[in-house]
Amino acid sequence: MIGFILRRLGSAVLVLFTTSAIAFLIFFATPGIDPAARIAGRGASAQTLAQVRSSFGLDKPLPVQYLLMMKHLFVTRDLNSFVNRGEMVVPQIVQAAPITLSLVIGSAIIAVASSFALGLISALYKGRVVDPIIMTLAVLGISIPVFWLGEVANLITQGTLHHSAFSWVPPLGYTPLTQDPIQWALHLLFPWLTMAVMYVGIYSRVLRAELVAAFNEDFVQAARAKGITERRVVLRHALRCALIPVISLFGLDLGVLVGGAALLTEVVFGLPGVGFLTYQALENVDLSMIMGTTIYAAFFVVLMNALVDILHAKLDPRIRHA
Amino acid sequence: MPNSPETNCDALLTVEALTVSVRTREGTANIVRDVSFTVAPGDFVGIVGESGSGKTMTLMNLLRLTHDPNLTVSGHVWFGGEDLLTLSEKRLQEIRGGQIAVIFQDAMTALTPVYTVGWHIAEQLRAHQNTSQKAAHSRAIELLKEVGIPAPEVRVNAYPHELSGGMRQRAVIAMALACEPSILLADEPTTALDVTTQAQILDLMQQLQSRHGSAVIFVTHDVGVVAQAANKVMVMYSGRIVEQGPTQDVLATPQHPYTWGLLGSIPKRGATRRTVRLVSIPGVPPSPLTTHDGCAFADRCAFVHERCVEQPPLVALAKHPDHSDACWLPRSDRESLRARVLVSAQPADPNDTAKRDQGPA
Repeated sequence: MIGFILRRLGSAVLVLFTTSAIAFLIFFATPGIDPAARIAGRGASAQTLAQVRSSFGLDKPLPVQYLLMMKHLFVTRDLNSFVNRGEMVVPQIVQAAPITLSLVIGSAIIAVASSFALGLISALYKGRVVDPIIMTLAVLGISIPVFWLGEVANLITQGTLHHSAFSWVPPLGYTPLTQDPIQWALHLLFPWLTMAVMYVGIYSRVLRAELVAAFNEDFVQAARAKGITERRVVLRHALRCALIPVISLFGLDLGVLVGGAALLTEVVFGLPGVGFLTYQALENVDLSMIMGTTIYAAFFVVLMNALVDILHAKLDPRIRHA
Repeated sequence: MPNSPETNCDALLTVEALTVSVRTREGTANIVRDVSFTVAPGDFVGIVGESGSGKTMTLMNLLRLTHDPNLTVSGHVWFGGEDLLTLSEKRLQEIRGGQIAVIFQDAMTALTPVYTVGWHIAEQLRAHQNTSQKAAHSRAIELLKEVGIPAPEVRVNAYPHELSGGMRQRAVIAMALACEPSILLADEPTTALDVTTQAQILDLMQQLQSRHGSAVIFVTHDVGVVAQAANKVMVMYSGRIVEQGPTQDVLATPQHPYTWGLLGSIPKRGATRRTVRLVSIPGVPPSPLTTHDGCAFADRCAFVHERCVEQPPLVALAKHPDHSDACWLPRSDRESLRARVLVSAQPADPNDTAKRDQGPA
């Protein structure tokens, strides 16, 4: 198991290196584009261009340029966003990351808890009325676009009903957890719920399908024949095997969301997270910032991927020796 | 396991008129019809029949192991003075795995893939006995040793996928034996194994049975397995018992035309120099959806006659009260008719099928 973890983390490092190299090459080696002009932004002075050229070593060979870029990102962490003059890239990401993490992790907890409950109920009551009702709601949840749902939530909680039923909902924005935990939770409650809806739909359907398949497996009948309680049959045998693919799916989603895919929710609810930051950077063609958030996103996706694989191996002995 | 004195001469398990039907889109399918039999301590009962003859359904419903809201089970399964079919789920749990254990067909799928062999055995032990995890673990090693698994102290920590098919089936048997059940239900436990391993597993089950004195009910479609291991045999066709009795009687003097067909379809080692075509029973088993008042085998039977539109009852032989069958053919004719079927089954003669198709009325 430890060997597996080390191997997996080793390959994660390799993937991270490759991703950063590719991201770098896209920005610095795309033919016909002067990276200095891109980094410096539109209408930059000749002086700024010269400064960019020297600071990124653009007259030096590509590997050196790559190392310099990484140095700016990770070692000195002084990569400048030339579009928003003087704004440092790394501190901005560091500032935005906890917001995205708060949003995604809270939402993930809600999504996992409710989808497990719904998937389990659906599978246990397969063929009864509850099952198709839950599964139809799940499809509905998957189909509703998050930005629309978010806007509707805002319309109700911030608009029409703000002075009656939802007077306790704070205005859009973010309060750090360390500053005021209650305000933090209140600010994030509707973003959490909004973002969770789609994932509840997906996971509960996947879990139900896996559970129904597991219930038809011989080992579930064999477990029943052992004289253990039905509860134990369902939880320790059927659910234990059914949750493996759901966990994999969840881990991958988590990586992507922390990496910035929570963008729509962040924009709708005015949460200045990483997705929001990327969105702004894209609007302003802020290359340094895009480079920063790309590598940040890659880091989380790769990290979550590695964690999922390790967890997967922990949950399923058949993977461990592969 | 020693049986309590009062049940010693009595039957251990008595099945009365077990009937299983399932509601389907096309109508009600009768999977098991009016099956009755008794099992005495130390019995090794073989249930044989084609796929779909209801043998597995019979076995699984003895412990109400089928979980399907569309299934209706009626009849009685008497065990220790209680009817297992009406028992509370809680009481049934005590019997499952404790007094009656089940061995499933495919050991690969009968073990939950994410747990070790030792975990499975410990779970079985701890479901019925108040033992510590540690004691259960060492008992698991003992059990694995008993079923002939080499290096049991290593294998106890192996996952199902790390063992071969034969090993896994041994582990499943060890698990079933953990609580020293008085009855073992085995659903084709050797079908998924290669022939050598089959013989080993069968041998092991017989050994363990004689050592622990438990009764075994064994479902198989392999008549050879029955001949080797069972002391009683039940032949099932289309959900009914068509013939039952002591193994040597049923195999030596089979009474029912279906049993003749079954025995006739066993490949024989080349007595003739000519190529021998494997004989099969013509036709297919009737769908469980069809409700036939008469004998279910009538459509495929070479000896069908007007009486067959009525359901024949199970009638015992005058000389052998243990041996009974459900067929309208006159007892006096059976010997000669059987001889014709079983002899004509031998050479691959083109006339052979023609001869059988004519059949006597």
